[in-house]
Amino acid sequence: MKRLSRTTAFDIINYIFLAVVCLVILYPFLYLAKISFSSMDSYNIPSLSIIPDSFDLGPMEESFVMSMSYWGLKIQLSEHCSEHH
Amino acid sequence: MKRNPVRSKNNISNVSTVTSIGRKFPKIGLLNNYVKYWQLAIMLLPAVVFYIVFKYIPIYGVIIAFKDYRFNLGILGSPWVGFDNFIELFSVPSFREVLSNTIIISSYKLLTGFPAPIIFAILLNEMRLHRYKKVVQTISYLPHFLSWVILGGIFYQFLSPSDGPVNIVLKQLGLKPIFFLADVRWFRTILILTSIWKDFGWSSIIYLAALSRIDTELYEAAQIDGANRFQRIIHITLPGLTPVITIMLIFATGKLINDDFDQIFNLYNPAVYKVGDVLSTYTYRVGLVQMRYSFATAVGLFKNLISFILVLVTNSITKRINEYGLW
Repeated sequence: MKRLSRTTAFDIINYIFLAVVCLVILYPFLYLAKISFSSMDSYNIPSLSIIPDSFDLGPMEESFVMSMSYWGLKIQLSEHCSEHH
Repeated sequence: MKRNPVRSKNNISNVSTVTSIGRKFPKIGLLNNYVKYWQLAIMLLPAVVFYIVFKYIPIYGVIIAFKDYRFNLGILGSPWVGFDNFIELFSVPSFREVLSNTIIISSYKLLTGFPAPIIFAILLNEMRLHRYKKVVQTISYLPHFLSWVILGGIFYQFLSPSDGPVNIVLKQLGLKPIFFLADVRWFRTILILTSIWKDFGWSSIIYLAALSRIDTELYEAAQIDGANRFQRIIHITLPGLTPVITIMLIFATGKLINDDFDQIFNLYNPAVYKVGDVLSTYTYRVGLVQMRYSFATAVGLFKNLISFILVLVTNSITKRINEYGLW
């Protein structure tokens, strides 16, 4: 099947618009990911960038080792296992 | 209708043949059908039992809306109070506020959230780079799969007045930062925008499916006749979508009184109760937090009654337009 139409201004605007839509959807997630991997010092300096300016696994470590999320995971897993007995 | 020879060997299509012919030829009763195809009836049984146990039996709890429920007396032992809970319901100003909030938020969501997936589907349909189209589609589905608990946390951070990106931009533009989630002027806007953001991609699937059924020859013919992009969208794409749009619009209208508990519960706070409190969150707070079970059940029953009426009305409208409805 042969396409008759050429690339028009509509196409360009359409592609740009949908790219912006994708960015709007992804940005909150990327921003949050950046915060979770950066240190407290860089968090205190607000910035729009999604590239972490310092890399720190501290917050991740904290949430996995000492916080309640571990406790919650443990409960969920033990409940899950007991269901199968 | 042309029948596929492979499918007609199948039990299921036999059943439909029997029932459809059953009216013209010797009558085969519904019960006889169940006996004849008992294997299918048994396969249906678990679903029927599920609905009886988890959906129908709990309905008896509705009677506490007509009682003054007390823990120590139990559901059956509590004294009857007739319609007292409903009279109280309509006399308290907080209920009227909640009811109007629900309707306002749902209507705004319908007005803005309903056209969004349609426009998105049409724009996607106009794309010719197949790879790019798939990537956009996949990204747009992403937020649908995350619960409001997670998204609530993300937006709380994202819209924060001190370090949220939105307010950083506002500050750089020389404007005052806005505490979006605690500002009565902004809360509804945020609710509507976030719900569109979450679901427009996912809801566009049904429209994309309808678009894929439009004959491409129509577009080619229109192109040869000299129709430009917008003319093609208006005269081919939109008429092709109309049946689906009608059905979806009617269903959406039927859900007007239903609010999104998960979304609002995870985003609201006492500062915005005035504009953001809706029937389901109100029921939750009054019923489970303040432990006024009877009153909360009355609110829930009232909401379900309106919901039920809306479903009946929309179903009859659908039947009139499409000649078939839910039942």
